[in-house]
Amino acid sequence: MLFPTLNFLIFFVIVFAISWSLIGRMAWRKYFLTAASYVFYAYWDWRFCGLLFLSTVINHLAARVIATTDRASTKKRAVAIAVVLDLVILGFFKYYGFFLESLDDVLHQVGWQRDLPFLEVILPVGISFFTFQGISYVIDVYREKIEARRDLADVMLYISFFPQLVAGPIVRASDFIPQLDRRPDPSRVLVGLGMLLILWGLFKKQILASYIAIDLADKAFFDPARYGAVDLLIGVWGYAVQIYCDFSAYSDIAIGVAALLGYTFPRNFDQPYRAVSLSDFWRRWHISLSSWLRDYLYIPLGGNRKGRARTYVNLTITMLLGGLWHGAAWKFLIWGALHGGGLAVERALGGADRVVGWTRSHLLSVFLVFNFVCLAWIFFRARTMSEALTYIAGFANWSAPVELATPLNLALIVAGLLIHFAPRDTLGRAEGLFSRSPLIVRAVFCGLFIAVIDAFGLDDAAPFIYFQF
Amino acid sequence: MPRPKHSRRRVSEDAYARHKSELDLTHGMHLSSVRAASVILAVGIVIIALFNAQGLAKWAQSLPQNPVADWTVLASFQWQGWMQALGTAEIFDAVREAFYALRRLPSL
Repeated sequence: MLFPTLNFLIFFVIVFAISWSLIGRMAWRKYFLTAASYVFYAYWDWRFCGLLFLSTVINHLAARVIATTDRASTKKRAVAIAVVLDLVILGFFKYYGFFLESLDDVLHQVGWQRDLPFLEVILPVGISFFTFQGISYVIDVYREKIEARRDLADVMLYISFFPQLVAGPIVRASDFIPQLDRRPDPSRVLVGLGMLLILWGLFKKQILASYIAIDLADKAFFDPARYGAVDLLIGVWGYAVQIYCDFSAYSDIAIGVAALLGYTFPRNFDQPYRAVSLSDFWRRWHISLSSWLRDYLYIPLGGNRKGRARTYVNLTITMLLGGLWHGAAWKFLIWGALHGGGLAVERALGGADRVVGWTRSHLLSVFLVFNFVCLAWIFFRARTMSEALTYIAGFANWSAPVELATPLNLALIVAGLLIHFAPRDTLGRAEGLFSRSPLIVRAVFCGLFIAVIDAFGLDDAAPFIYFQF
Repeated sequence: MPRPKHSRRRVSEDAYARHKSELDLTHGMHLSSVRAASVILAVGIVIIALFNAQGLAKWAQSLPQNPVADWTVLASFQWQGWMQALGTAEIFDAVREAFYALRRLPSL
């Protein structure tokens, strides 16, 4: 069930009405939202509801063990078992095929071929997201940031809550679960924020991301050998805007939908392409994943506290695993390695501030970082490594005619980049203006805005890019 | 001097707490009632139905076949006819056509 569809609108209106009518009975509201979330997930593929439930039970049981024992070794063992089981499930569905294919290649090269047990494994949508949320719950209980819940339904709702279930943001247990203890006040709802984020997300997804995808990025990446340097450059800049608008749109709509139901999620994107360094970029891009990797991987590995060399290694390991989180393919590893290597080099050169100082220009730093990120996006987007290399080789071809620089493509790219340079309080100002308007004005504005997007948008909504992860 | 036992954890928590305040989208936002949200949703749905009756009919046709879906298809076609008579469906088509004309502009 995609957000920008009539099916989701009907689903949401029903959930909104029933959940607020149950506000006097919090336990029932929780059970209802959990059931609705499972229905939402079953709409993709009902067979994986069992997997979602299994993941939840594993983490719930581990948290209960941690909460009920005084022995440090037992707590440690419980957290380790839960994390390993979570990763085994994730690994089987996501990496089994990749691992066997890679092993088959290696065996083939050394002349020791074997019949390996290949399986047709279907990737459950959202598995990377709900696995990381489950791990976050167990570790947060272990670190005593939150108390383990007695009621399995609390953990079920936290892990399956439908706005963020299939493509994030990866909400921390310590951010969400305490909200289940508070009764949302029906007279104090973040209606303005929720509505504006939903409208803004629809605009970014349906107009910017969709048209850039079909009219520009898909063409450039489908057959890069056909195009010259100008088209390929516009193609990768377009893809940078597309993936930002697509993914941040999902996050915005998820945050907006949750707000209308009385729950808050943190920001997941913060104008990433205005970053002046790679470390700055990772503080702005997919913040819920980058901060998850920092807190549950980079810092436990030792972070920057074990000497220079170890810091570089930790950065590279973290980003390589961040790349692998996106998918089981060498291209994602290269994408992670580029970012990890870039972060290590940036640190070796004396940190982001020093690098910005060398470029002597804030804008130049932004430009350089943006283009480095675009270089990495080529590996991320291309279907294979050889396609990515063909794409890069195409930058040497300046004689080919320009085909993709249509006025609309250029306008969409410029619009997608200008978003990044809007004042940081733009959302707050817009929300203030919206919320102070008479109710009927707000209602008509929302209706007309959606109708216009509907008119401009494609007939069939394309899935969000991050559904595949 | 030996490190405190949970120093790694503390570094992580401090960093997260610092970061968390920057990530809070709710700060300074206005609060309204569920009633207001309901009115906005209801008016929004009516406006979409007024302007995109064609989309509504297309959605009804995609429903799995059963008596309710059959009735929905008939009702959506009737609604589409009314909207065409009213002229709102034409506005929708004109806006869409204008945007598609932009898409057809050749490369610079």
